[in-house]
Amino acid sequence: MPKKSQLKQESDQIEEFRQQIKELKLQQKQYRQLIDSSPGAIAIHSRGTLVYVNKAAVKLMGAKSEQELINRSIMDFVHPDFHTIVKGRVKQLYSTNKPTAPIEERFVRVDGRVIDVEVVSMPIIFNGEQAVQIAVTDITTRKRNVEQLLFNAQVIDSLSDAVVVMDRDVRIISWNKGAERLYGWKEKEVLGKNLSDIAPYTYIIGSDEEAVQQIAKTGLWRGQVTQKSKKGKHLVINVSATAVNDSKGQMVGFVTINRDVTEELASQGRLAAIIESSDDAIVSKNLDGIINSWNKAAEKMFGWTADEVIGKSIYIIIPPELQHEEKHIITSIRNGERIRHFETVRIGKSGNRINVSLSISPVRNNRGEIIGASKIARDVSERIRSDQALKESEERLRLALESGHIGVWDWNMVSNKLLWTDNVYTIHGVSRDTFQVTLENYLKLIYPEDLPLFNQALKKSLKDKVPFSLSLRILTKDGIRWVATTARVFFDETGEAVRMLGATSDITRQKQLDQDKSDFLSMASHELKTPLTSMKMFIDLLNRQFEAGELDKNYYFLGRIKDQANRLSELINDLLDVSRIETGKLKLNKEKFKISELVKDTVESIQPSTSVHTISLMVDRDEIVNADRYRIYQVLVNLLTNAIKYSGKGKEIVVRIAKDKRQVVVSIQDFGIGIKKEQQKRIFERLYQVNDPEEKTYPGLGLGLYISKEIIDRHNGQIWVESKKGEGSTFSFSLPIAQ
Amino acid sequence: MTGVKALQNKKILIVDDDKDILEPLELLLVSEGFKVDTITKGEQTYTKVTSFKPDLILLDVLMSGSDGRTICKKLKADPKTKDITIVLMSAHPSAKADSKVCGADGFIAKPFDIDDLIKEITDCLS
Repeated sequence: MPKKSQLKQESDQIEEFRQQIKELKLQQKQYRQLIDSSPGAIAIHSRGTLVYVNKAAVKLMGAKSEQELINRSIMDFVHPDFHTIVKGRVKQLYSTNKPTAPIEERFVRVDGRVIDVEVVSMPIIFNGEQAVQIAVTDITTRKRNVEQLLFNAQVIDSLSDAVVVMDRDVRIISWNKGAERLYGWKEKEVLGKNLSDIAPYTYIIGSDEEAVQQIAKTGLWRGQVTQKSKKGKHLVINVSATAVNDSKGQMVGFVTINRDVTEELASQGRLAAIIESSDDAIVSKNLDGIINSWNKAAEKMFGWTADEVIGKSIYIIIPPELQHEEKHIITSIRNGERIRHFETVRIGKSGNRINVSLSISPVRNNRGEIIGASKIARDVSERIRSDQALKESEERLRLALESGHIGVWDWNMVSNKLLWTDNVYTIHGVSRDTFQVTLENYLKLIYPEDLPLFNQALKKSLKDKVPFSLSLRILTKDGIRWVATTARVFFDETGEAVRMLGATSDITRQKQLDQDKSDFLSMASHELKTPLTSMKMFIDLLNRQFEAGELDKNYYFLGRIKDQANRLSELINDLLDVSRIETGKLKLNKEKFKISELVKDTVESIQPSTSVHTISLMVDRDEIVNADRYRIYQVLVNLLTNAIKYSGKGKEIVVRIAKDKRQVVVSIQDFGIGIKKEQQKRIFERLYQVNDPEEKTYPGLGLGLYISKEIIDRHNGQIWVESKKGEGSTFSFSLPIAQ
Repeated sequence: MTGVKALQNKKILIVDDDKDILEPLELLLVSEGFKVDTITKGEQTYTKVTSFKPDLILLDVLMSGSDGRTICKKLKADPKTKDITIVLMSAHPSAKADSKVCGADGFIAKPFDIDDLIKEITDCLS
């Protein structure tokens, strides 16, 4: 029998148990309640049959009540793909008696829908039976989202841009081929890693904060960052990030599209540098003619800075009278036409005009629409100036050729074509209309005697390759004329003469002058030799008399010798005077004197040289002149000796001094042979001597009146003759009266 | 001189437009024993030749108004005068060549030594 205390003890224990059980039951009840109302789906299955489901599990499985689930086989709800796995796991659970890690499975709901679930299983004793309690989470949406992301990533693998998909913790989920190319890392090297650990980035445009805000707000962010590739290459990346949300609008990750713009920027930079450093002005404008870019050269060319003109109309540089050009330009640009090397005038800031050559091209936007024009302007003022200078120099050459009456001809020796300029026709006195220029016809124009000269010169020029140069006579309608021709022969690489380019000028006048000169020299030497001959003979005669001892006539001979020496000396003086006149070296030693005194002295000195003439002097008015006494004396002597020489039968010579306005006029009148009207004009010319077969002959160089005229001209006076054939002549000269 | 003396009394006509030449020439030739006449105009030569009948004409080439070469040619072309000896004289250097062309018998260049002139005349006359 147990002792009372023992009983009590036992009874207490029982009571304690009861109490414990009571508490346990309460706890169990509370626990059940907790499980029942848990938002996580919880179920218990035992021996393959569901024995408990909470409310959340009923909902998860799409059932209306727990009755639809209880006592049904667990396999009714496990997707057939997972039956084996689930059986295996249950077995494992019983043997190890430990809970499993979360496992992804698929369940089939009562309505037949398949859902993705994450299951955590744990072995328990339920109603004394070995059982498994499972906590199930529906992961269908999450899983679908991630799968969608992965699928998308595959699609975009082929894109050239780097496409990186990251979860919300910026861990890389996908890394396409473009990203491998761009950054150099393979996908397997980067998956699950944070992008900032792989390729740290620095913002160029944007910031972390801005990116987060923008994405949160609009789901999209664009920016620019610099990053380094695996090989350390510095990259500039345009980033475009888009949020990826689940069905509840919760962001689960984002996609970034990263485009390498390093090259583009560099080339844009290079292009900008080229545009800025160009010598040509480069300007762009929109279709309304509003300037939107203006390079350094444009600033220099037009004087406007970019700041001054950007936003202004292009008309600012178009001269008012050329404003219509812009309409045409814009019309062409709208039609997509380019304008090349359009030469026009533009105006600078200071109003200066600039000759420019414009090339204008349409500017299109990304969609290919024309939105404006780019204009390249080159300053061609310099070229136009040099063109102008060339034109002017050609004009000068043409004028020189024309005024020099130089004809130019061009003989193509291959085609035997001969070209003449107008002057060549003029020189030959033939008309362009009637004369056909061929070598054969040309040869007919050459004076026949000179034809061999022409052929010889041509042959020499071709053989020795020397310039062709020849003076020859030609036949013209005005008679024989002289021409000088010089030409260059052009040879081809084989040494064959292919072309002759020449210049021809009429040298008849020059030839005449040469002839005059030679005639003059011949006459001068003749004239000089005459007194010399006379002198020599008198000297010889004198010698003979000395030898013979007959000296009776020696004084006469000596006197005659002296006369001839004087004559010689006068001739030489005349020649020297002519030379002084021709070279402008005739010098006057002016002094003031009474003209009558000089005339009187001269008359007195000349009178003794003639025994048959009487020179009378009549002074109407005496005046003082400022003149070279010796030179005026020379003029008087010349006129008086002429008067004596040409007096013929007239024995009287009258010298008069008179006043005419502010001039004093000296005239010498003779009553001799006189001068024909047509000869009067020419007697003051150099070397002119009245030469008339009917006339008596008169020796002399024919220089006297020429020298006299020069002397009087130099004194600002005049000299003239009044004469009638057979009645005599009056030579007069005037000199200004001294103030 | 004996040779010259042998030619005494031969008649010489001097034609020159310059009296300063004519005078000493006349003096010289007269002193040499020739019979001398002078004229200053070329055209007068033909009449003078008929009246004076010279053995020799001393003829200046370049005269104002007439040309000695023309006169010479004319005289040599005329059968009545072609046998008259003609000596041309000139200060012009090229005249010597011309004298041959126009048929002259002799030529003397001005200025000359009188001995050369006498020699030319006597050579032509003998």
